[in-house]
Amino acid sequence: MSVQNPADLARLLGTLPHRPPFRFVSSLDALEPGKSTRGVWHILGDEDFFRGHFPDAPLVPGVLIAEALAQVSGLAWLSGTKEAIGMPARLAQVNVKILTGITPPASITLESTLAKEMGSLAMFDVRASIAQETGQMTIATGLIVLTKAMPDEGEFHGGTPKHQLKPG
Amino acid sequence: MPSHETLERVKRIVRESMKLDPATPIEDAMQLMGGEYDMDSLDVLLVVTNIEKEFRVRIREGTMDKSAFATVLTLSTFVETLPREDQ
Repeated sequence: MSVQNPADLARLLGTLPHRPPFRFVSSLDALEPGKSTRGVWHILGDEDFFRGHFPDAPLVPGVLIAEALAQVSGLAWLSGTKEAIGMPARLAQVNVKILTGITPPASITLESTLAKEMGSLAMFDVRASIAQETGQMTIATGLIVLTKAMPDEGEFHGGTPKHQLKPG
Repeated sequence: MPSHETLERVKRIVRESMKLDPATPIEDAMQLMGGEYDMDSLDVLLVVTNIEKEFRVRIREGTMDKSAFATVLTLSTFVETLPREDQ
């Protein structure tokens, strides 16, 4: 479904626990509850983090692109069931390859599709892109895992707690 | 007893999913949970997803229990019980 109505957009974005200035989804183009999301992060260039990243040479931080992809993943997941809304979901694993640097202003399209859900974990295939004359250019791609609980709290606890992330 | 081919494919998936050195030897009886490499829930999710892609099977929640992930051998045996999606 397309989300053009401002009230619907506000309600859906409100299902995320994130709030400005740490919400990196500006609009939603498509949402298939429980399955996939496509949104856009509009970056103006006056965001506070550009004062330090980097002085005189602003560059969108790759970690924030990964965070934005995690947020649209959360939107797909949290909109899936009535029970999921308001559920605390946390980032469990990030494996996102940043392919190119992006300077502001920019509109980054964020896409996320649920690949597998198991126990308290949900894995998403994610892609970030920007519009070019020749079409959408991928700027980041990979996978993100969200969890309803911290890793190793579920039934698949394998022994010694291991909360380390495995960046790709 | 799973086939040699299935065992080798599962070992490759485990090696890649766990980011092990390609030269790391993996025995059939290697413990996946609680052993030297002690997979956690994130590792299990990645291995399951990669098994689904590699073998074109679907592993549904409730069809798999912890015992399938005891060793490479038990995981390979479990994989061979799964119907291929294109069949």
